Amino acid sequence: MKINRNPIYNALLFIPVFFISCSLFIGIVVDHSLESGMTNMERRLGADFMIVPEGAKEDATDFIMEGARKNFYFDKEIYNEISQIYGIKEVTPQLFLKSLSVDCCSSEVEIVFFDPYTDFIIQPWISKEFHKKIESNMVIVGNAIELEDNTIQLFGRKYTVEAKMAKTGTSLDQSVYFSFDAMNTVISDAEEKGSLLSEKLKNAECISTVFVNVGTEYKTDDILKEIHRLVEDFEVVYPKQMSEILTCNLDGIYHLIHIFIFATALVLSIFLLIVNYMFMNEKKRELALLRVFGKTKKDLFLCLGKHTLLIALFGTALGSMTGALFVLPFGNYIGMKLQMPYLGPDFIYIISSMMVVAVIVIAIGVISTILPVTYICRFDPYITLRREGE
Amino acid sequence: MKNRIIVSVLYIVLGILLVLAPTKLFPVCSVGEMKMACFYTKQAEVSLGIVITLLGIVSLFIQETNIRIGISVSQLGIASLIFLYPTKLIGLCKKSDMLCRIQTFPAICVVGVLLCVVSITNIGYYIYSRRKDRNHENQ
Repeated sequence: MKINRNPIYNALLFIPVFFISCSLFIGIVVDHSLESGMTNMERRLGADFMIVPEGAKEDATDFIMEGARKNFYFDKEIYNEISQIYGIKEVTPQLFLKSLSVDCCSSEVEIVFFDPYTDFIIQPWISKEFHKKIESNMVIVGNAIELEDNTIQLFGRKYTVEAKMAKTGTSLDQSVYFSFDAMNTVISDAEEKGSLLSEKLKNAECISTVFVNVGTEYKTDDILKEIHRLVEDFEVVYPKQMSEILTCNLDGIYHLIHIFIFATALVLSIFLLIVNYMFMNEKKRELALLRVFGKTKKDLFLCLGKHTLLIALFGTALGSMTGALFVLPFGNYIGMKLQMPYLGPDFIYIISSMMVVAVIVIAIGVISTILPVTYICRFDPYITLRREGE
Repeated sequence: MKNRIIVSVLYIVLGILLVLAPTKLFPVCSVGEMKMACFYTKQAEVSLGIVITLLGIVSLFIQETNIRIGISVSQLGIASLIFLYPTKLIGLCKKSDMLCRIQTFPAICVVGVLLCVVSITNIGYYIYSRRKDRNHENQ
C-alpha cells in the first residue's frame, strides 16, 4: 500500500514531531539540572547559620547563591567563644583567600582554609579520595580544578592533592581547600608572590566565617542570643532559609518550563491531528477502495500506524539529539545567565529522558493518526466511493 | 541541483557561524596584558570559518560529483580541526568558569558537529546515488 507516500504529508508529520521532541528534551534537562543544582547547593551548605563580620552579609549571600567568595575577616577569637556555647552541635571556622593568578589556572582560584577536625561542610562532599589524612602539604580541590599527577602548584609551591570534591555547578568548583596548618606557608608564599595581605592575616589571627549547626533540642534563637551576649560586630546569614527562598523562586521558573512544555505538546498534537484528519479526508476515496479490495480496518490501522510510528521514531531521535546538542554543551552558560547553580544530568539520565520523550511523542503521533482513521473507517466504503464519485 | 544548492548554502552558513561564534556571538575572554590560549584559538577558528565559507562558495558552482565529494571530505577534515584546536593543538584558558570555556567552546562544538553531519550526509548521498546509477546502467 502506497497510500501514505506523500512528501508534504511526511514533512507535516515530521516537523511537529521534531519540535515536540526537541522542546520536551530541553525542558526536561533544564528543569532537572536547575533542581539538582539547587538541591546540591542546599545540602552542601548544611549549616543552620553562618556568622560573618559586620558589613559582609551581602558578600556571604553571594557566596550562598553563586558560590563566589569574597575576602572578609574577623578575629579568630570569635570562633573560640562560639565553640564554647552549650547547645551547639557542630561548629567550624573557615578562612577565604582569593589568590592571584595561580600556576595551575589562567585566572584566580579561591583558597579556603578549614579545620579538618571540626569540619562538617567540606569533607562530606569529597568524591575522590587519594589519601586518608590531610596534612599541611596536602589540599582538597574543587571539581573543576585540573590536575597533573595529583599535584597542584600554588604560589610557586607544589602540593599533593588529597581529594577532589563532588561537582556543584557553581564557582565552589574552583576552590582549593587547605587545612589551617598550612596557613602560614601559603600566606608567606602569597606575600612573596606579591599579594597584598593585612597584618592580621599575615599573623594568622583571623577567619572569614563560622558555620554553626544547633543541636536538635535547642532553639536557634536562644543560641544566637547567647552569641550576641559574648560577641560583638557580626552578622548572621541563614543558608538553609536562603536556599529555601531561592527554591520557592525557582518554583516559578519550573512552573513556566512545565507550562511551555505542555503548551508546545498540546499545540503540536492538535496540529498533527488536523494534518492527519485533512490527509485522511483527501485520501477517503483510496481508503474506501482499499477496503473494497478486501483490506480490513485493522490492515489500514496497521499500515498508517506503522508509517506514523516510523516518522515519530525518526523525528524524536533527531529532535532529542538536536536538543542534546544545544542544551548539554551550554549547561554552564545557562547556569551563568540564570545566575543559579546548574548541575547537568549524567549519561543515564540523558538516555532515560530521551526514552521518555520518545514514548510521549510516539504516543501523540500514533493517537493523532488512529483518531482520524477511526473516523473515516466509520463510513461504509461503497457509500463513500459513490459520494466521492458524485 | 537542489542538493548542491542546499549543501553549499549550509557550508556557507556554518562557515559564517564559525567566524561569528568566537568573535561576536559567544566571544572568547577579553585580552588583557597577556594574550591567553583562547585568543589564538579564536584566530585559528576564524580562519577555518573563512576556509569553510570559501569551499561552500566553490561547491555552489561545481557540478562534478567527484570534486563535490572531495570538498565534503575536506570539510570533514576541517571539522576535526575545529575540535582539535581548542582541545589539543592550541587550547583554551585552564579555568573552567572562563568565558571561552563556558560559551565559546560549546558554540564551536555545535558548529563542528553540524559540519560533520552535513559533510557525512552529503558524502553518503553521493555514494548512494552513484551506486543507484551504476545499478541502472547494469540493468
